[in-house]
Order: sequence, then structure tokens, then C-alpha cells
Amino acid sequence: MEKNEAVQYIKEVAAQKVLTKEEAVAAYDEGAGTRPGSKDLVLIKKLGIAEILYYIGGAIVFLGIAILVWQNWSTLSFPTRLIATLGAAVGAYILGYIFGREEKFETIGSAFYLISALVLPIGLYVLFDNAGFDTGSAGVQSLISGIALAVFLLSYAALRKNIFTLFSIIFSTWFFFDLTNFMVAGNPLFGWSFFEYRVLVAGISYLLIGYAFSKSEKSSLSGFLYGFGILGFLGAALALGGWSPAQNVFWELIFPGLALATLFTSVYLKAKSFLTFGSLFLMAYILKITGEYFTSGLGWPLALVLAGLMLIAVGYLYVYLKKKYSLE
Amino acid sequence: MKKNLPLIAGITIPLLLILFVAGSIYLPGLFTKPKYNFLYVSGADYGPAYFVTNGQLNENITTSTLNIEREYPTGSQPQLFLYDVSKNQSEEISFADAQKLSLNTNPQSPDGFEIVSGSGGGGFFPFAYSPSDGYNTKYLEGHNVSKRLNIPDQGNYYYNFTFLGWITNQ
Repeated sequence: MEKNEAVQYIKEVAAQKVLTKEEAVAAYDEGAGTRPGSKDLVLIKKLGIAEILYYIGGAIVFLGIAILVWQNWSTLSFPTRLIATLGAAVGAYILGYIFGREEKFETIGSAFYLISALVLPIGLYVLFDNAGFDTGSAGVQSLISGIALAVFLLSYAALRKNIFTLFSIIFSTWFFFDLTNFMVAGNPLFGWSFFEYRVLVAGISYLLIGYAFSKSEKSSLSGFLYGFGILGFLGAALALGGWSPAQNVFWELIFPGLALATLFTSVYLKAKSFLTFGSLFLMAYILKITGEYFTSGLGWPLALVLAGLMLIAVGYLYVYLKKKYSLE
Repeated sequence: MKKNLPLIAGITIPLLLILFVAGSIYLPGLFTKPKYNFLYVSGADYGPAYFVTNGQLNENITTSTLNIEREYPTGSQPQLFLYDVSKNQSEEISFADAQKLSLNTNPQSPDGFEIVSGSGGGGFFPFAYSPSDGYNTKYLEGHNVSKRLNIPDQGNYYYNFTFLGWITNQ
């Protein structure tokens, strides 16, 4: 086909409004084999055996570096330790960048980014330890997680890769806990329940971000965020209820409502993790309440019978909702 | 904007918690200030070196002698300190000067504060932390305010701080 004919044909099709501009551009990209804009397939397409092996390989490299440094801590000099950790993190990042530029090597690139993300905190620990800082303190841990967060946020801003979103979420969670640890230190006004409230807040945050991502190209991250989010949220809410006589009545009363709301939200969001964790936590709640309040009044055997029947009911609800709404 | 609302909320909620924690730690201290200084002893591995009767400090000769005779390293010898709550600092004081003070041994000060120990760390990996001073950190707590005390580390973990009384004649 001649160029002029092709252009004329496109004009006619556009005039008849058969094709939108976006559809025409997408068709052009597909035909020319070019990648549109910032399309990133890592974490979007389903992982095959090869991709899984890349990531497992990356994790094993990290383990190798960690064990090397740990076993030879006293014999290795500081520069060797630094090169083996921080140097390896920088090297892996550069390799990730080089591989990540080619679409066919993108997953290998992501495996190198994974090595970089795992080894970077160890490298920073080595650096701070040598500088004389107490690496176990919340202040230094905040600094390490904050630096790692900044690195991967900036990487996302520059390269727009989904894997950096994942690392940013993980490091921001770490930073959130360490910063609040640092602020609170050993302050007696903030006891163990403060930790539970932080898990609750992190869980809610994961759920909201997961929901926001579910409507974008990052929808593959939603499953991860929903899973950990609902686990943190319900786990913290159950733990906040405490145990008699030091129980928190508010959380004990509100918990079944939260668990049931989770079950029904699973239908709306089509999220299996909501259904699974909602059911498991409802079962845990039934057992907890039975053990806490009904062992002396009704007698332990009768309480167990009632708890068992309720567990069967929850199990049935799980299967029913899963089948009816085809939750995968 | 509306489309990004869940994302904005997801990022904002943890930030709000951080602001809430900062506010609840630092703000109440601006409006509620403890008034009473207190006396404490640091060291004394062989039991109480000092005791208070009728609001006045006395020395326990037996334990004082033991502490000196056993020649424990510096820091284990009992030392008296006056803690100035307005300056938030300790000042060593002689036994003779300390005897002139009128002491209230009630754990709670007349203005409703008491001295409590900090928690020794928390969380779990990788969110765990271990404060370098841990349990040995002391706080002045009352009226929903908790103020960290600057107790100098005398190198004695278990006997670094023994409260003797609130000073009522200063």
C-alpha cells in the first residue's frame, strides 16, 4: 500500500468516527512493535516459571551476600564488607537498569532490582555500624529505612517501574514503624497497644492504596496490598480487644461487625483475600470469646459445641460466597 | 482528585498518626509543668545506702560501709543527686546538704506526677527496636504528660536510680 493511500484511508475512517485517535495510535504501536510510553509489564503479566526462577535467584543471591558478611564479620575488613554489601546493591541496581531498558530482559532487570533492594539496607547497616552508630536503635533504623525509601521513590519518579512502587511501599512501612518507634522511644504512655494501632493504620493504608491501584495499571499490586492490609487490619483489631480482665470492650464488640463487613466487602471488591481472612478471623474471634467468657458459665464442653457449630456456619458462608460470586 | 482520593487517604492516614504521636508527646508538656524537684541515689549495690524518716534523709551505715569496703568500681558507689525538673537535669549533692531537704517519700508528687520506667523496646523484625538505655530510662508521668528524665548513666544498670523523695521545702 502506498503511503498516501494509507493516510487517505485513515482520514476517511476518522471522518466516519469508526476509529478513535487512541485506538489508531494503539494499533500503530502494535503493528510497529513499539512500546507505548511508560508501559511496564513487570508485576502486571502473570509470572511464568522463568520469571519465578529469576526472582528466586535474586533472593538466593541476597542470602549468599548476607551469610557471607555474617559468617566472616570479624575477618572481613570494613572496605570488603562495604563492597560486598553496599557495592553489591549499587552494582545490582546498575545491572537492573541496563537489563530493564530492553523489554525482553525486563524481568531479569527486576530480579537485579530485587537484589539491590534487599542488599541496600545491609550495606547501610555496615556503613552506620562502622561510623559508630548503634544500629539497633530506632533512630538509625529510621535513617536506613528512610534512605532506602528515598532511593526507590526517586527511582520510581525517574523510571516509572512498578517494581519500585512495591519497594517504596515496603520501605515506607518499615520507615513508618521505625520513625514512630524513634519518636515514642520507651515512653510509658505508649504501650503495646500503640504497636497494634500502628498495624491497624498500616493495614487501612494498604487497603486504600490497594483499592486505588485496582483501577489502574498497577492492579496486580492490589492482591498483595489487600492480603497484607486485611491481615494487619483484622489482626490488630482482634489483638486490641485484649483478654479478660484487661479486655477492651469497644474492640471486642466491634470486631464481629468488622469481620462480617470484610466478608461482604470481598463480594464488592472481588477479593478472595478478604473472604479468606474475614472467615479465619471470625473463627478466631468465636474461639477467643468462647475461651474468654463461656468456659465457666455454660461449661467448657457446651461452649465447645456452640463454638464448633458457629465455625461450621462461618465455613459454610465462606464456601457459599466463594461459589456464588466466583471469587478467585 | 476524586479518582485519587483512596490513594491520597492511604498515604495521609499514616502521616496523620505520626503527627498525632508528635503532638501527644510534645504539646501537653508545653502546658503542664511539674513543680517538685526530687532526690535520688545512684549506685548502692549492697542495699539502700540512704533512707528517709520523718521527711529527713539518713545514712544506712552498714550498707554504706559495705559499698566502700568492697571497692566497687566508680559508679557503683552510692551518689546523691537532686533532680531539677525545671532545668530537666541532675546535680550531685552532698549528704550534708541533702539532709537539709524536707522529703516526701510518696511515689506521687504533691502536684500529681510520678516517676516510671520506660519500656525496654518493642515490635518485631524488621520493625523491632531496642532503646540503648531501655528500662533504665525514667519518665516523669502525670496529667497525660510523660517527660523523659535526663538521669546520667553511672554505669550501673540495676542500681542507677533509686528514688528517695520529693523535695517540699524548695
